[in-house]
Amino acid sequence: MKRIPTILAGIVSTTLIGMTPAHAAEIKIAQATDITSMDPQFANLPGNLTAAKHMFDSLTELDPEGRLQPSLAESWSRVDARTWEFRLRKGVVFQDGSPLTAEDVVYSLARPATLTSSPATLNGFLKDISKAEVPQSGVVRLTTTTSLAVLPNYLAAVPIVSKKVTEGLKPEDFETGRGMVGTGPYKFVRFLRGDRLELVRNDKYWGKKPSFDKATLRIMPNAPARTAALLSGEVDAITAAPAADLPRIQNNQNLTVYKKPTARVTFWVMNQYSDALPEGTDLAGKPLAVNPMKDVRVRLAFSKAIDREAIATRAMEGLGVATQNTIPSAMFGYNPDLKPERPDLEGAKKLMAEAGYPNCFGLSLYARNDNHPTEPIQAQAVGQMLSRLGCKVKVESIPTSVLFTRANKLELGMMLMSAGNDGGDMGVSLEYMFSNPTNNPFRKINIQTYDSPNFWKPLREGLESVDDTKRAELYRQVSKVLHDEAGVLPTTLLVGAWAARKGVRITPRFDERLYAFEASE
Amino acid sequence: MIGFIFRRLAQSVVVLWLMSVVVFAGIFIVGDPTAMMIPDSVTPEMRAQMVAALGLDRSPLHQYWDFVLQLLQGSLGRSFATGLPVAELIGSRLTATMELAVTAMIIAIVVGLPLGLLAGLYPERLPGRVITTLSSIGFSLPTFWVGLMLIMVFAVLLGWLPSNGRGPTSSFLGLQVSFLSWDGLKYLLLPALNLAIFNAAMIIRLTRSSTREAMLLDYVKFARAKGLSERRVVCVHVLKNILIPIITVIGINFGGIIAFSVVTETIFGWPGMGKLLIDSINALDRPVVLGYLMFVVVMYLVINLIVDILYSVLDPRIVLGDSQ
Repeated sequence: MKRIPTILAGIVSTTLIGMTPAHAAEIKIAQATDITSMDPQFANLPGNLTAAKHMFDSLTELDPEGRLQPSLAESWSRVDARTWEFRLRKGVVFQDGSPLTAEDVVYSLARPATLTSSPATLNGFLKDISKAEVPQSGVVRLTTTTSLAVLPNYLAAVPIVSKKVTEGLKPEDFETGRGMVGTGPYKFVRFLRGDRLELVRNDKYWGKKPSFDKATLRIMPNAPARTAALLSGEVDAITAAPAADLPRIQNNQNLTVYKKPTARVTFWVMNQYSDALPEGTDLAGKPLAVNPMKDVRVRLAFSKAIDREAIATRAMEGLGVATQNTIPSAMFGYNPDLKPERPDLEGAKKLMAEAGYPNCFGLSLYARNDNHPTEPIQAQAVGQMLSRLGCKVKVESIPTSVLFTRANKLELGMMLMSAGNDGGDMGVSLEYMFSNPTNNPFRKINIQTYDSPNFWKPLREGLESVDDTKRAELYRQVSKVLHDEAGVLPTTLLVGAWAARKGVRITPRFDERLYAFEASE
Repeated sequence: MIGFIFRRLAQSVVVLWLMSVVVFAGIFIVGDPTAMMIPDSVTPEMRAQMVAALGLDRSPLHQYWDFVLQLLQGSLGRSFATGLPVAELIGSRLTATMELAVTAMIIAIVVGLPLGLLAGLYPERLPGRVITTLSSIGFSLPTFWVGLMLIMVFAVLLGWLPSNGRGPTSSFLGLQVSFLSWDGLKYLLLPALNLAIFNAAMIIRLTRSSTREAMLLDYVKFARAKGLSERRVVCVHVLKNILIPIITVIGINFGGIIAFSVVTETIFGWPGMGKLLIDSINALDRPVVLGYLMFVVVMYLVINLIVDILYSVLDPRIVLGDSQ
């Protein structure tokens, strides 16, 4: 009796497999990030760029480990410190059949600067290009205002569009499919705002053909909703699988969990600028007239008091890797000599006593409550770790918008931040993180107040260096300085979690994304 | 009645104006959108250009004036985050939300009214007690939890209904709707049910208590004395009298569903307006928040007007034209 259902199930499943035509394979992916615009160059937001990458290529690209690779540019070379030449791949055509030309590239690199209503312009990557010209067919020569070693990394973030079809289009035109003509592996079918993006394979694609004929990117920012959609078979794969659901997904025979350390680091920012520590008090509760964070011994003591391993395994439920670097080990410039600092309460107390705060002081810790779910938990944990030094700690979780507004006014003493190294170059994100009005007048917004010549000198040299070996060495030096001076306290790298049903193989990426064209059956 | 409607419209304009001032002021206090949006990797010229393009370089008063001028020309401005016209953004989501809200309300009324009547007529009998208990549960369970349970049971365990998103849509009077095909309905069912549960519970409780009160009143005794059938007493006389408070509550809640069904829309990935509001608040996308709340006020004004008109239909003693 027991056998009949099994046999039946067997028959049903073989029939079902037999009924699925081999050439109509479709993959449905639920991604956590929203897509705010179909215009591939409108905004430098992860959801937008993930979607754009399916339909548009860039001159260069970053592989799943964050290493630079050729794409529409087959090769590139430095004519001199400020001049680059990119040689375009031959025979690449847009989805409307017209060939990709160097003029399209020049146009595409100039276009982001014209999108002035964009809230997160891609032009940050392009502003240093002072001249873009076409010395011969199929070659683009770019002149930069400074010696810019990371230009190829920057260009990986800028989708190349067709001049002919995008000239004069408004953001809303792209929603309907106008202008959606790229050179990428998939073609645009339909975009339903806040819901899904439907794609179909581009048979004229120059590169490796995607395994799936059709792809649908579903937008599901809600974590339990993504899990449920995966469990119910509504989608084939999800990004940012929630930590709480991982055991359940892992126990399911039909599902596979993928984990990978991403290039997103969490770190504690300490206000080293204000004369008096904002919201800082002495142990009696009176406002502090000085700023102890200016003392490197205090910052180092805090670093010693923090148990990074406990944050990674407990507070973040395993979705963190304790680190002293700001990038994953596979990436360019990683310093293998910097091991995560071990918690050393005695050492920390000694340093605090030397600095003149044997029983610490009162301070507030801030974290964002709408960014990564583990951030408020990490803040609580670090609050308790610091209280073992005798600190009177207040922990507050506030929305990103409020935190940034207050941080820019230097109203916060210590806060948890996280930064993604999506560009694949550590120097760039460090420069971005640490710039402030005194060391870089171009950048007005600054929530980092660490500013040390020991840090800036090797970083600037690295950013300009023509020799990659020397550049990597300089980057390692920068990480060392950051650690010795405790400019900020890196705690963990976020571990990305993805999940897919059996039968679909996905490629987890350093930048937390998931591409349909990097998945296979 | 015409006079009443005109007076109402005039009052509405004042309410709208007050609302816009309050929202505008509130939005300025929350935070600075440039701090959130404009990356710090741009030159000061670019930055100034972007601030000017967003209209944020002017004084708050001036920005408010810009907004009013735009509004008078029939435009709600453009969203910072997406670059799209706000009206288009709201419009594209309105159909999805309306569809969800109407379905939920229909379910709530169809289930709630008869069960409430039953519970009110037979409060001491088993069905009455069961209904009352169930309504208490429906009333007190948090929406997000019920939503997750619905997904777990009907989508994950049984696999009957899809868990997330809006299904295939078909064109109806120029709008994209999903209730015309079975595939689309399947997607609509769970989120609508989730929204309906709380409202059904409320209608049950309201109907039950009103019925119990009404059954003791003299007109019911007279109606019975006149020899009317119990059916006619309940379905015509009692029902008509208790409907007024129920309609008021339905009206208020209907507005609430449309405007703020954020939780359900988030859990079920329904691309509606509630989600738009929350996303926009988080991104400090001022034009969308402002345009959205203005829209909500207009909607509430319209719903209240309809409720008032329904009153006068139900109870001839209420004269709308009467000025007090």
